[in-house]
Amino acid sequence: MRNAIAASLAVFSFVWGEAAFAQMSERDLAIVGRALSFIEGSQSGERVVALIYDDAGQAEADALNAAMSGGYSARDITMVPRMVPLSDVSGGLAGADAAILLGGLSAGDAGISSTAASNGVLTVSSDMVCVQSGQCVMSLQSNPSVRIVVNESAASSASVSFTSAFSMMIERI
Amino acid sequence: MFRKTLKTTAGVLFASAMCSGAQAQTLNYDVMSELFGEPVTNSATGKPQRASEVPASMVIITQDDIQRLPERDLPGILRHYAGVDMVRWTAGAQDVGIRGYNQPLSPRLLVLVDGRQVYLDHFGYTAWRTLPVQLDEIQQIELIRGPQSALYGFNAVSGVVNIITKNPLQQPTGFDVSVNTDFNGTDEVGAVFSFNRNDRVALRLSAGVGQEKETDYTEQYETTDDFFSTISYDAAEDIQLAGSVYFQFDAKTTGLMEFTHSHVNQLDMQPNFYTADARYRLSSARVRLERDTDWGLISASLYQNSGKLTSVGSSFAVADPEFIVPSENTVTVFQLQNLFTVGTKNTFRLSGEYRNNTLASSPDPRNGDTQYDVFSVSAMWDRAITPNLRSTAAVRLDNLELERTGEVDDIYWFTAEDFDRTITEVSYNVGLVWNAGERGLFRANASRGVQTPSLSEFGLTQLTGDPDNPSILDAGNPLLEPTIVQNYELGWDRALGSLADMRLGVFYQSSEDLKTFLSYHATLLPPEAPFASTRFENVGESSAWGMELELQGDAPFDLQWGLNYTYQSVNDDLVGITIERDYGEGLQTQRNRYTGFEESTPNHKVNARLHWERDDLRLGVFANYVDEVTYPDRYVIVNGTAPDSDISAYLALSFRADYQVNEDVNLSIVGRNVNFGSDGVRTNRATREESSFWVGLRANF
Repeated sequence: MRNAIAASLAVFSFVWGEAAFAQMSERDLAIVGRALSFIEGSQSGERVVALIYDDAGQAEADALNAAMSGGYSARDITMVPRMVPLSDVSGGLAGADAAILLGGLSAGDAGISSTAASNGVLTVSSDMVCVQSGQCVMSLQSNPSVRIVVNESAASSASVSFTSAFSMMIERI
Repeated sequence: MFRKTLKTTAGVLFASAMCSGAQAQTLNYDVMSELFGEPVTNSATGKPQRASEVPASMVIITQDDIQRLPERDLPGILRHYAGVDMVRWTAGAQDVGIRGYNQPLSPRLLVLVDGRQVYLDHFGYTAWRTLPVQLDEIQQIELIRGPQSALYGFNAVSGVVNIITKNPLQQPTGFDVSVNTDFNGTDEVGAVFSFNRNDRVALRLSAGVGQEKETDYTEQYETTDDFFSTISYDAAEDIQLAGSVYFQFDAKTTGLMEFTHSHVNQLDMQPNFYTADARYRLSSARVRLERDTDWGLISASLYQNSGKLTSVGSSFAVADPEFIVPSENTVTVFQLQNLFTVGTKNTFRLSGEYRNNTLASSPDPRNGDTQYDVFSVSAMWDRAITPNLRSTAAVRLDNLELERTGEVDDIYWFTAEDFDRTITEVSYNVGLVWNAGERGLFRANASRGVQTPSLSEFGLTQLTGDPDNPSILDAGNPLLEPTIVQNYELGWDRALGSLADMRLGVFYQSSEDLKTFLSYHATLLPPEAPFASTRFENVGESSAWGMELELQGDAPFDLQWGLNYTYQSVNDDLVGITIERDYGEGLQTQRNRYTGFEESTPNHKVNARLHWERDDLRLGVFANYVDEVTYPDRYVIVNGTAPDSDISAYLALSFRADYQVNEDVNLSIVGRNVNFGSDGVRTNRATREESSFWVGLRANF
């Protein structure tokens, strides 16, 4: 019940770190991994997750890359990190399954959104602004409770769809 | 793809047809729970939901919770939760009530295993030992307090217990075995084998066998009124077998085939507080198919429960054996459902159900089958008004057509034509859930539940004495009206800082046309009936209000604690079926009914628990307090001497200690009601429960 109550207290607050933008926590990462298993047609196995960062997000990307070193397992899915600096988005997203936007990019970036969509990549951010603007497919927060928001238009553009049960349990805009 | 946005005004059916598809997936409880950080369910509305979004008062008991409790059976597990009344009448017979109104063979609670009803339709109760499920194969137990007829149909009036088993498609191949024994006549073994072939086909086989020593009631019951003259079993004995095959035909289609069988001998407690030697031979078969289509998530389910039930009470001792046959009941249910979303905010469920329920003439075999067909349609609309405010509305229409085949012997008061009857009832659930952030989560709902009479209540024929000149006839009543339960409640969940999490619920409930069991004395005499008869009757109405307060939190030294308090107050307004009889001391007025909940529902209940866990050791201590109650006597003589039966308040203390020997083996020592001693404590109308100690071994391979 404790978890249930914590989850029930979803609010709009963001996870603010010392930086002036939302940061991806390891708990967020675990949620991303499990969410990947609910993409339509998903099979168990490895997923390449691009960590897209700008200068402000370099440290965060390094930390996540270290946390995912050797593969980050979330049940049936193992996330393999790929560091992608902003300058290399066009090439860095090829073959990726998901992309996490970090640093100043967490609020969204039109260029990344377009490139990810054309590559069929699920874009994820811990900043709700990103999904609300349609520049991410998914934004999430894990504290104080789990909140997952998916932008249908962005998902459609990226040809990403989720299973029924998952779709009915998240916020869709 | 997410479905295209459609205007809700286009109409539900049209919208359903036009929606782009969502992928079919049986709810993956483990992954979903980890993902959202809370239990998930689809038992409240038919829609997958996080526990915090459910518009009903619901408790989810996880497998881990089960393994922490000092219990071996489901009623024992349930008694630790707020709003639950559990009575252990005999070693085998227990009854569970939600928000009061508990009684022997309690008819108000609907119990399901993975959505298949396991409560017994011929008399509308649950014989818990017959449930073909082992504790180790349970994913979670979902307890819903309050009527849920709009989703589940008849008889889900006080609440629903839906037992969800682990899906072997989502589990690795494995074998679990558990053994419990008290080294004194109570032993049980359960085994579950799961086989998963490439996540495409999975098999689960489970079996349980057990016996529980019966208490020697005749010596311990302290009045001259010997309720247990019919005792012949010295232990409750049970065997449960279940086999299921799960299919993942493709990414969008799943299937299930399931067969079960239960074999139980036990001492039952009847609503008139007579015991009966009961023998249950129950079987079921089910197929289920679920597919994600462009029209939505469509599921179809067909199952049949069949049972042969023998219940030999003391009155049978004077009956001609020729006129005693077991009750043979067959229930066939077909359900079709479509669950779909419209736009981003709305989820709809449309469903239809056909049910055929047949009871062969029993115990007197000469009077044709009693049966009914039920056609039902239901709809549910869940809307996310804002991200923090959600509404749910569900409505269901049931149309029951009752009939009796064959001829009825003219010694009974009714004829077969009296059964040509149609009952049409509407049930509903409406609810609002508002997430107010740090102020907590607020819940409001109203519901109407329908409890239809059981087939036995409609059509029982039981002959006592000479068939040509019977001393008394126990008979069904085809004129009975369904009991209607109306429920209103408010709920508030919030965290009390770092001290505890709190859940608070307040409810008001009314019940119209309650039914009573067969009375001790005749209620129909010639010329109203050919022979002196007693029958099931509607006996008036009752109302109740109450609250459930649940707290839990962490404490220093790796301690976890939980405390729940239930208050419930029942106000009966019942019709007394009175008759005057001369017992040699002049006329006495008798109230010939056993129903009466005002005094038999405990006003106060408290459950507390404290857990400690470190490394391979786990220890829990438990307390259950139940307030005093008074049960209606078997035959109440208003101006006579037979008193009601007073039961004092009691406190039960229990413990459980677990040692994880290695990754695969767990040892436990459990003491249930340890302060009751060998003399026992009288916990209900019939029983002195004794202390029970046992050791358990669980192994997973």
